[in-house]
Amino acid sequence: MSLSFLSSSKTVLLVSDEALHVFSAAPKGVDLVDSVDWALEDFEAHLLNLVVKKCGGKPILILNDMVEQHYRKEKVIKSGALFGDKAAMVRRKLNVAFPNYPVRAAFPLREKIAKAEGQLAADIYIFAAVPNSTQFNQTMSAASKSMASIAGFGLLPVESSDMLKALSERLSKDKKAKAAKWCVFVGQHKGGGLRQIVTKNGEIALTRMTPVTEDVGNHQKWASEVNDELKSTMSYLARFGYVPDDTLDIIIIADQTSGDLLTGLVDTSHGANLFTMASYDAAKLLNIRLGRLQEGDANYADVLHVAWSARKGSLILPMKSAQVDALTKPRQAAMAASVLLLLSGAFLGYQSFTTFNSLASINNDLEASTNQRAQLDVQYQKELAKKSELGFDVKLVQASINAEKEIESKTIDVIDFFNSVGTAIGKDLRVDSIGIKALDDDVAEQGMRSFSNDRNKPKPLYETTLQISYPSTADIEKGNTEVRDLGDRLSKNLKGYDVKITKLLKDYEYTEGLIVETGDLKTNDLAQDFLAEIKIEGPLMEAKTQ
Amino acid sequence: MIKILGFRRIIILAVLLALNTVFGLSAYMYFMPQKTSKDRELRTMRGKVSTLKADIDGLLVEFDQLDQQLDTYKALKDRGFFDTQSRRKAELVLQEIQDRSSVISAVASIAGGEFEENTQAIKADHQILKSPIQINIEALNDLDVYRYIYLMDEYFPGHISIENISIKRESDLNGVVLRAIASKNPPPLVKANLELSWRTMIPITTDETNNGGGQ
Repeated sequence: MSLSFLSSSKTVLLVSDEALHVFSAAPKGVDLVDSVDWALEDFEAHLLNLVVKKCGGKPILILNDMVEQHYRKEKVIKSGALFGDKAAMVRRKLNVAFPNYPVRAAFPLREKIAKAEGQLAADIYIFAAVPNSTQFNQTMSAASKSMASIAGFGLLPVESSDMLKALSERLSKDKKAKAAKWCVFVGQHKGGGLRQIVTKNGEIALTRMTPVTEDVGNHQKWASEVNDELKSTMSYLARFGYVPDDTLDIIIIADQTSGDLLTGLVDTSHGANLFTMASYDAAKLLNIRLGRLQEGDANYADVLHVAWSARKGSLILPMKSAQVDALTKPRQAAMAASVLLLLSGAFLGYQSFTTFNSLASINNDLEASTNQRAQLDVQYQKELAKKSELGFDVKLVQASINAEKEIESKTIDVIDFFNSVGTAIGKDLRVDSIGIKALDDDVAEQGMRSFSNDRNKPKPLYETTLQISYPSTADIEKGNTEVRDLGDRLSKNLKGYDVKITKLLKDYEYTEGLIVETGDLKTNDLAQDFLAEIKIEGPLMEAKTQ
Repeated sequence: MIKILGFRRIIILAVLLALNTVFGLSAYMYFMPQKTSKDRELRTMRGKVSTLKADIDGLLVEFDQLDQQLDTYKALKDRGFFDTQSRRKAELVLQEIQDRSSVISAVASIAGGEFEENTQAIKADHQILKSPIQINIEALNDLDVYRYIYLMDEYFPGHISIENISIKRESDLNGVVLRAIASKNPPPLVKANLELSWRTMIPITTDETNNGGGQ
């Protein structure tokens, strides 16, 4: 099942009045496989054998080259939204134009009719139709039975019109020049008919199929008949809008001798460019391969038309009919479905493959991890066994030490502290009271906030208050000096503590109860002690924990 | 349909359809769910391996540190850091400390314990039991108070931390006081008030209400 629209390998059935010519088109060239007479008794079986066996069941392209094929130039008014669908309008007009021809089609020309006074803008269409002939039915029946794909059904003159344009362009002396406005192509088919195709601006304008002598060896006669037919064609051209000022290329497929004769015969006085060439020269120009050629094939152009049409991806004017559609549509749908299934199969296959690979890789990793875990588990059990042999709960050992350290970091070594304070006090001073108070975290933090904005400053853990009383008779200055000196000594002895003198002797403080008896005031015996106070904050939390 | 499409086309379509079905089912119904499941399994296994490695590393580190830590642990154990704060034992120790410190009197009260949050203890399925202790001391000399504090710190089971200490001289030496000392009935010259916290680390039990207390 070939992909007919992609492959250049095709079986081309050239439908002519005399016979059905079967060509095998492949990248290596185009060969005429056989010409099957319509009157052949076992026509269908013979054709089937050619298509399936000789041509390998390649997609079939049917080219109609019969005399009876009808063309009509039609104006289709440019429809607005009010006039409905343009395609439907074309279809309706086509039905009206060829009501009795089941095989028909239309295609728009580049030529347009511009909007003018009293005239609507219109598109110009070529309407084409083929009658429901016995030959057509025989061909379709055989094509259907061959089970090969139908690549298309086209009209040879229409499908070769772009070949003329290509030839004209390549024959032009000035490589940059455009193809001639008019181009006449004359070529004899092996069946005997002389096919003339006239294009205007690369689009088909006129085609004629006329009989010509089959005696190609008689060059003089052949050239004369061809010249006569060409003259007839030229006489029609004026009706199609040709004027002598228009550029015109005449291309005739002929061997060297006939070509030379034709050069002398053909009237080019009106400025036409005449080119005569053998079929293989034309093929060379068109960059197509013709396959095996026999003697005399240089005069025949049908293989050229076939090779040109066979390599097309899509036809210019694919002919439509219920019979053609009944074959092509299901087969095209099956082909599209096959392509889709092939693509999705490839995708799913790729996905399955990659997922499988990925799964295999994961399985390997999993196996490796499981083995690793088993090994580690053994090691862990060994370590645990060693641990239990020690007779200690290692976790408890470490946790208890850490917990104790944490608790210890928040407390004070009071004996060392008293020792330092005692050393600072010395032998001469006497402290009345000493108070140590642990500062709550919150209180410490509040204190920090009130004194400093620096939250990172370490917090003191304790606040110690020392109170020293002096008799009222003491020398204040001397006492204050003693207190200040004590503060200095404390600061020196207590590293990481903040020592502040909060009260000196000059600050009077009523610290003791007072009982006044009658006569006391007279004797002036009532005296008041001085009280000095020192506050020590610390140790600092951070200093302690370090 | 067979007449139009041909047996070969239909076979090709059927084979392609079957291949699609097989590939589709194998990819989406088997390989992908298997991959997801195995992927999850692999992640879990890698997590377990990683945890196991960390555990082994932890154990090795623990062994390295254990020699140094064992002495500290034994000292903590000997000090009663893992005791359940027996009040009876505390009473005996306090009596011993009072006798050895030579203070005139020491009235101690131990309040009911509370569990204190401690992440380190929790790691070993233990918790910190904290009981506040208040002691009012009367002594002839502040040195006796210091000795009392020292003995508390040295011999009281578990960990003792200072919350509040207040030591105050109540009176000076005079004739009356000296006579009282001579008659072996010394008056207190120094009064001290100690507020301490008694902490021990005990295993977490299901019944945490049994946390001691009393005087």
